[in-house]
Amino acid sequence: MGAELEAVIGLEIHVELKTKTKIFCSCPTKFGGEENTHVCPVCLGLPGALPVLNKKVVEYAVRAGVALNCAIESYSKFDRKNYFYPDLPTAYQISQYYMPICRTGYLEIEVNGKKKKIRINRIHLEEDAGKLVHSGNSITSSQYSLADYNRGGAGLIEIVSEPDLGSAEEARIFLEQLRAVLEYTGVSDVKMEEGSLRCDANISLRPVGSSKLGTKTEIKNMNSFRALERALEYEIERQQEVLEEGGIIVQETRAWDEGKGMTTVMRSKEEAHDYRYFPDPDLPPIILESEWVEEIRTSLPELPEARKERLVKELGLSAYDAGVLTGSKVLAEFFDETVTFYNKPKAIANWMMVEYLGLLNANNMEIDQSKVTPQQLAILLQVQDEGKISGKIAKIVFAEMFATGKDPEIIIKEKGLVQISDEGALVTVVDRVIDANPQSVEDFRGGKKKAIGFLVGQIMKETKGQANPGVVNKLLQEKLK
Amino acid sequence: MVKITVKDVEKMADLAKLELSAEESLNFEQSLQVILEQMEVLQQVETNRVEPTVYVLPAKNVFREDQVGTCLSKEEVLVNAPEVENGYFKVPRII
Repeated sequence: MGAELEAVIGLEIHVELKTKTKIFCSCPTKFGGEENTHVCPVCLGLPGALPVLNKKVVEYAVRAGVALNCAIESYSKFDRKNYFYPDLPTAYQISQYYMPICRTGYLEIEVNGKKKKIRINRIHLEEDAGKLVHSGNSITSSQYSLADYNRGGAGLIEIVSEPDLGSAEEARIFLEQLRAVLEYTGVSDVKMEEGSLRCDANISLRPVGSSKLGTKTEIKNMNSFRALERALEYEIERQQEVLEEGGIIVQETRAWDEGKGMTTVMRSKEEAHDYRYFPDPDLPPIILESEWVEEIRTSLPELPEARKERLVKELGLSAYDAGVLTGSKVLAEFFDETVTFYNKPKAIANWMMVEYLGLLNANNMEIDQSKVTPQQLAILLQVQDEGKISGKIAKIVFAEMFATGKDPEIIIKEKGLVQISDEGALVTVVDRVIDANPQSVEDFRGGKKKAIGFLVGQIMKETKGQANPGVVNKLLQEKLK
Repeated sequence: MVKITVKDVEKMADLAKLELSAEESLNFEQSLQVILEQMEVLQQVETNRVEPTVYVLPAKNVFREDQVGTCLSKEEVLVNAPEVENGYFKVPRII
């Protein structure tokens, strides 16, 4: 052998739709309620109960479809996927197997500065399953399990990509970009840690240049972007080792174990015909009027790629900054709103990228959970611009704004942080520092221009950072001539 | 023509969680074979110009608005459950 191998990866992404009610009944989708209290005869699969499709679910699926450049099918319908598992009270899941609502889309991603189109095979509608709690540590060590059907019957779309992803990194970038697009469309909360965005991966290896696909494994249980990337990196290496030792890959489903950092066998893969799909006789087909589809298409907001381009072309941000700021809708909206109050986009971007995201990440928060408003950030930057506070003080004020939500001017006043620009007030401190540091003074006069930095630092220290650095510099230059 | 074997019957029974005796399996093998033969007759009909029947009723687009309705009470939900624990349905060992 010895031929170089390449990875071929496709993703299956389940997205929980942000509708008020479930897909086929009027039970609320609000989670966290007491077990088995958001259920009715339909989602419990009681005899005689009939499902009726939620119109909003159809609208959201179409919305996601047009955002992902899909062909929207004028005719689609539901099928039953039959299998026995206690998270499904009906023993079948209502899904769309033969005629999904969307086909053949794509999403453009950027990997190391290069654009790449990742094709989407299909998007179909289906119902979510209930939640199981096992009595033991794992399903295999449990004597019994407990079922809660509150989530059962919630509306999902499943997005299936073509196997166009060539590395773990590409897969992660694709999922991040997909998450951003879906967040912008407003069809879902797309929170991986809360399960409203779930991702499985199919992965195989083949010799570089070959067009034949190798045997794949399916990886489940990846609950974050990082987990997806790590799991795929692990699986690529595992398959590589098996193949290089002359072994064969077994088609199976494997689970990512975050703690151990490895994938382990869950079950051998069942074949599609074992699910004995057949048309659901309770649900009439969906026949989409093109007017409705067009109406949904024109109601789409600006999507991440377009927004990023606007930030680069019109506001002069770097591609990297624009990418980060448009990676989430709430972040992008915060930025745009701040610009309306303070027209220096680059300064705002710098502040958001460094100070704001730094604090958010350190506190494990999203920007919509923060108390700081766009107007407050604009005022802070304005005040700094006017020379009332130094950049250093601005950081202190911002940390306080972040913690308390108070207006920057109030914090500056309360803490007495106004910048001292008055030469008369600073001259005594400058004199004192010059007297106390004869060595630095001598160094400076001897030609070491850098020595002035030390003196400035001392003055800033004495004034608790409130001295205007420009004025201090000017005074020092005069005194040390 | 496709021939149904006892093995096929056993696989289908397994997927449907049915327990069949050897005699029953044999019985199904024969009766399923008859059904397949009848399908074979239907296969001969010229259907090139016929739209596939996806749904037999004239209904389409039966939608409801996205408005929350009433759910069952917890007592009603669990009344038929063979076993209950802390408001959950208790189910036997899965694997």
